[in-house]
Amino acid sequence: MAAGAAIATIYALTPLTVCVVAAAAVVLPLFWAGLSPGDRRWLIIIVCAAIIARVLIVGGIFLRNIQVHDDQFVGAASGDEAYAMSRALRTRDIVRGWPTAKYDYFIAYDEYGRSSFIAALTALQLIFGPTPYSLRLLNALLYMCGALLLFRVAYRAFRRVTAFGGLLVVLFWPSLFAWSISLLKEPLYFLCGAVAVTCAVTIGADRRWRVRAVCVAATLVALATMRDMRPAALVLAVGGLATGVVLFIVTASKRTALVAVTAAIGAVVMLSLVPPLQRRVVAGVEAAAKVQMGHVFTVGHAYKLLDAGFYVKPVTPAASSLKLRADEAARFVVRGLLSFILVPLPWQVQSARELVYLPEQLAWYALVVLLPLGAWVALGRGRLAACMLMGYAAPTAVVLALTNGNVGTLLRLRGLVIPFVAWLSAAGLDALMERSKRLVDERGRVFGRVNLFDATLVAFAIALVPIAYGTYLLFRTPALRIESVQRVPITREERRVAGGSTLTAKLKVRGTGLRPMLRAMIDDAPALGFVFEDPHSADVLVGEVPAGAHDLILFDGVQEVARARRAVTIQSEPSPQMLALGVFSRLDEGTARSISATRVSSSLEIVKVGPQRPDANGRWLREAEMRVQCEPDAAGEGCVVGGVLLNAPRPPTLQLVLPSGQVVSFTVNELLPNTPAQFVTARVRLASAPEPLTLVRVGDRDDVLDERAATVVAVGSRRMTDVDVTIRAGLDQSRDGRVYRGRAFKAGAPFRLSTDRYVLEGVVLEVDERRQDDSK
Amino acid sequence: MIIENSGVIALVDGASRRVESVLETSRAVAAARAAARDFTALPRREQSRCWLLMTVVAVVTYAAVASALPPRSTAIVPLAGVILGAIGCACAALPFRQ
Repeated sequence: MAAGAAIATIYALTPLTVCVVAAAAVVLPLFWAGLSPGDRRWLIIIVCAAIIARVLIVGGIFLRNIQVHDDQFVGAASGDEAYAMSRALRTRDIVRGWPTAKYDYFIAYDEYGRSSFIAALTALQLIFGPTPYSLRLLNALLYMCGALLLFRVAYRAFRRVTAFGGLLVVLFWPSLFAWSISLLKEPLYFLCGAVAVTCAVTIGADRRWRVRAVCVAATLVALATMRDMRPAALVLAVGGLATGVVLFIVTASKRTALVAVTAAIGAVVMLSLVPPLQRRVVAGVEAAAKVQMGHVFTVGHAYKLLDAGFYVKPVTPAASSLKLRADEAARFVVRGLLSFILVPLPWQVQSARELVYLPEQLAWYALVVLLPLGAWVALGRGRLAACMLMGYAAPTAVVLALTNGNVGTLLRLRGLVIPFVAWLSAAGLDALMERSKRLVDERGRVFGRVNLFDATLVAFAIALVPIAYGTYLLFRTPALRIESVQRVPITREERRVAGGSTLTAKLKVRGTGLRPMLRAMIDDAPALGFVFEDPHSADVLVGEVPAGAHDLILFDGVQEVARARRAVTIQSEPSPQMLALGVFSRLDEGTARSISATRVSSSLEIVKVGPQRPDANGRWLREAEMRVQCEPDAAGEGCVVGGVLLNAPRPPTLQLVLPSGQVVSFTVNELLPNTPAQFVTARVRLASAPEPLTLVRVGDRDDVLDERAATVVAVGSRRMTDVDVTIRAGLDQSRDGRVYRGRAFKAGAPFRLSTDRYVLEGVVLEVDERRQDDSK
Repeated sequence: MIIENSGVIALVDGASRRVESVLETSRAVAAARAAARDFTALPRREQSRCWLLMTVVAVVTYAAVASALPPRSTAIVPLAGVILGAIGCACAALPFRQ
């Protein structure tokens, strides 16, 4: 009765743990049934060590969170765990009729993330309440069952050393260990895969039809469970089993192997000779490359498989219009397959977490090195099991290799493959030790001193890890650092390249580790361009940015790689306004007629229009005066509007959108300051041949729309080659004194009077210094 | 040969043997073993009855304890009680399977 009360109390506190313990007590002993006493003892030691380690870690997580526990849920170590658990608990609240919000329904019934694991998780939370820790134990049990299933396969097929070696790897491989006690779907997914492989091997090896039928049923259940746990999970699993069967057939004899190799060569030749086939294959590679590009443009440590130029613009896979040539596709595939094995190379490590992962990466390299020998040996010892393990891992490995672009994701998903190839690598180690008998004495010692197995472990710990860290320090990509940001003049070429966009400033960035494919942001605003010069220098072209001090941020894809705080200062003082005199050209008659004084945009306003006139091509012209708001121009080049420098020697043309929606061209012939003109009268002597001089009359007006236009107010004495006239003109103040239409206006200065009837040159004789405020 | 003579393996083997000897000389473990031995020495029906009695006590105690806990942090008590009962019944059937 006391035992019953104790169990009840524990069950009330953590019901799922009691169920997990009961299940483990029933299931685990099945895996050491039938083993020799010695092997059984070792298996129990390994399993007990694995259980104790996992229970201690889960207990540690519990103790760490003990201050923040409530009646809901804590204990998620990652965002995915928190999502899965909170979704299950929201569903539980809805089903139990407890108070909920609209958002709970949204999450609970969301298509995103829906899978059989979420369904099972929800059912467990519903029945047992919030179970963040006992669920970790359940996941650990599922994972260990998967590992022990494969252990039994390896034990029967590859001998005991290989089986125990593989089991040690699968149970204590650091990232797999972390997986096995997570709240994620990975343990269940691995168990389903292990069931499928075990059943496939059993079907092939066991002649009893009852056993085969049970295995078929178990495989179907496993496939049904895993079908929605990952994209294309069913395809990968069935493809893996099919690959295993094909490998089994191919490796049946030398003749079948020869036929398979010949067929493979034939397929490659056909692929290179038949364009439609090549296009289909390249299309498939393009689809994978789009997904890979999507991974590259996620936050984290990305790696690239396509040629560098494909990664300039961040784009989602759905929006990507990526097209590859056959050679580009081939390079992508080769890089992808290599990256699956090599990434991250020790010198590519970027974060402390990756640095901690480095020993596991070296161990992974060791697994890969041992794999070919292990596969060869395993084929000799248990061909069916070896083929099924290789076959099951192959499609997953290929898909991961070609679609991944993020180091963290690759490391996590590589864990889908390691539990299957570990047994083959262990077979390689076993074979290596067996073949090294010549080097070792009867007690397994090298040079009569150190046991080979111990020497390998010590060499790994003492030699390889420091070497790896050394290569990391030596070959790592230099950290990108901005040392200075300096504002420099904008060149005409850059104005032109800006292509109509507002170019506010140009920054010279100096630092280390600069790369060509970076993007620059000024706080939240993307820069118009990042122009790489060398690893220590680059230019950043700044577009429209509000006034104030801003951070300059450099991105590699979507990953922030450097930031210079408050390095970009945009002045808040208003930029000058000017009057642009010019002509609307190439108009149709209706448009020409419709142009009137109006505001066209925030920076452009038509203030005066002249009469419409036909041009030589049957189109229409209309002169106009526009008030323009110049863009900030730190370089002091003049007035820039929409990226067009209006002071250019060649008449610049602005493209405007009228209020009617029509796009028209306005050629700027002359710029005047947008300040009140000072009107003066002056005596001017115009010189020319006698005939044009006779055309001069009172009231003649210089051919400019602005009110500054010089007007003849009196005609004085006429001579053969000159005439003295009195004019009234609007002058502007400049650094060099008063100017009329940009030219100096004082006694002795040249003067030009141009009307629609004549053009005359002359000289200013006298300027009346009395100011005339009346502009009329 | 190499594995059998490995120092690391010998270390693990020695540690596991020490743990085994600790467990074998532990009085608590010895008491538990004696109790288990006495229990399994009982007739099968008696063993089964004991299991069932313990199950009933466990289910009733569980219902009492669970009702004292906040509903949002506990299981669905009837369903969880049924599961606990099922585990107990499975244990009660064990003597007959053996």
